[in-house]
Amino acid sequence: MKHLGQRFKRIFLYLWVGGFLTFFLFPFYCILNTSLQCKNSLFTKNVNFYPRDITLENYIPLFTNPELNIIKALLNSLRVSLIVAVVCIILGALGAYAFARLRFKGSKVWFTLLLVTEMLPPISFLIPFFILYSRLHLLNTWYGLVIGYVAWLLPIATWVLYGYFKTIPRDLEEAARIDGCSRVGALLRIIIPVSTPGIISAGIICFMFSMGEFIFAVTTMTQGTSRTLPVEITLFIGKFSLDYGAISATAILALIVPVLLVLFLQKYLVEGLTKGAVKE
Amino acid sequence: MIDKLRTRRGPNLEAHENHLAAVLVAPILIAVFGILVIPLLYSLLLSFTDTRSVIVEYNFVGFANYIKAFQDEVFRYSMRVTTTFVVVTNFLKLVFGTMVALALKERFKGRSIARSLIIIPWATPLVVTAIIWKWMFNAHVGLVNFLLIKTGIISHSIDILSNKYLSMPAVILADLWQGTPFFVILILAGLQTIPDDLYEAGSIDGAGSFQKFFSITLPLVRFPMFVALILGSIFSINQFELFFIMTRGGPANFTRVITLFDWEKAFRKLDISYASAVSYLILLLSFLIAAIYIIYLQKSQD
Repeated sequence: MKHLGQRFKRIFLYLWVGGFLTFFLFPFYCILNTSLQCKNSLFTKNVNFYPRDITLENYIPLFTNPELNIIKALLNSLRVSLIVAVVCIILGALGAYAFARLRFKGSKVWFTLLLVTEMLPPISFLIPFFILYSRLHLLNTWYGLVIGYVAWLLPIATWVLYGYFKTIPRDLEEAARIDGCSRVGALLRIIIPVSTPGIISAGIICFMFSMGEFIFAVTTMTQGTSRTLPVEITLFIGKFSLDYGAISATAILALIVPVLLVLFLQKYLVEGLTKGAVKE
Repeated sequence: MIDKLRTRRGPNLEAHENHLAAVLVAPILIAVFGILVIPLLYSLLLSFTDTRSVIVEYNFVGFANYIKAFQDEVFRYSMRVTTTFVVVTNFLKLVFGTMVALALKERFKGRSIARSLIIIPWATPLVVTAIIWKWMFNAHVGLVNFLLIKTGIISHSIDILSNKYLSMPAVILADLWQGTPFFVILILAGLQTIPDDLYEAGSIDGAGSFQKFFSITLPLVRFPMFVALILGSIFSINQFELFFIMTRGGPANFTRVITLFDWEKAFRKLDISYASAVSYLILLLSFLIAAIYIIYLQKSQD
């Protein structure tokens, strides 16, 4: 009887897992499928669950038509996100080390204040940023975006790295210092190499958040060729609202980098996200 | 040995550490507070003026903009829309996320693949999420209408995102798809810290599955659940992209959340001072939730 119960539980478990995986993944298949179909087969009465005649006609214009800025925007996004990630790692690592290892006045207060900034609504920064940026000629520039994103993501990077530095045994560092290393030397030679996983997770988080950021970019990048991919895609939707094949193709293009990052580096991502949220 | 070194260098070392810390921390504090605080104070100033354009020329009007907000029916309605959205979507994410996390804790074939695949929706840029679900709910080519017609639930396709009863649930579904994985990640990490012995002891004492869940699992994952709820709430107060792309606040004002209302006031109507006041009200709301979080976090660390 108990055996039967176990079996029943097992079947139920598989059904449930299959169910929610379908919910989370089937939409990706649908959008990929749509992007690979030609226009005519999209407007038939039936939704085709598999592409009848696979075609790249939705993708080719994105690469060949210079008026569609999609590829340019993708490169812009990659550039901004990469710079933001690198800056956040460097500044974040220095600060996180001080917060984790050095005793100084007001360290707790500053650290808490850093975390508080992360919870302030982005919209409350948009209006003053827009006005100040227009005065400082930072609208429609990639470095304007970088400045905003660094201010936004630096506390997260610091928080993730702080969590890592805390887990490194003090003895390791003390040993190095007895051997004649300075504090900074110990940070560079001992702490940083040991915390590579933490650095990777802080980097991925900053990179992914910058890649997907929309509201700040759409507000400060109204014209010009420095627009990032999320903004360019919304303009694209506005222009080709009925051409779902083309829209799906741009969505797939925007998905490639995040999906690859998650699939190959998800261990770091999950560790970075759960640090501090789960008590050790 | 190390202790000796420490005491011998005592006060000097302390002073040295203070200096070093200042040098290391300064870049962060300047980058974060320098870049964020000045604009924030600037917009506080603007909220007490009557600025109506980017060329700032203004008179001080005291609390007029704040009073205007509370008299503005659309503002009040937007607050209600946001509250409904935040409460419903986070409640559902917590329940759904817990159920998914519990399944992913069990041992089964393909578990690690399932665990990585489930993060993909969370990593999807919000704009892409909005496109995907806009397509899903599309009246002509969308999957949802197709399935509803095929199963005979409806006879003619309906434009879900323009329907006053269905547009909000549709956005909530898209938000669940995007946001639940984050809850799963946090809750699953919490579940993994619970030792198996506890469940075995529970079994010996004759506890059933439900009893085990409520008396063993739930108390031990309370903390990650709390963190997920707080961060999730702050995130959904600020939800903009899904509404901006999927519904634009429509039909009428049924999905005009407060962020969309504020953004349109600022950047479509250029009512800068009023929009600043509204953004400060949103900030106050987020700050209250953040305060609960920080206080709880500090209590739990002691």
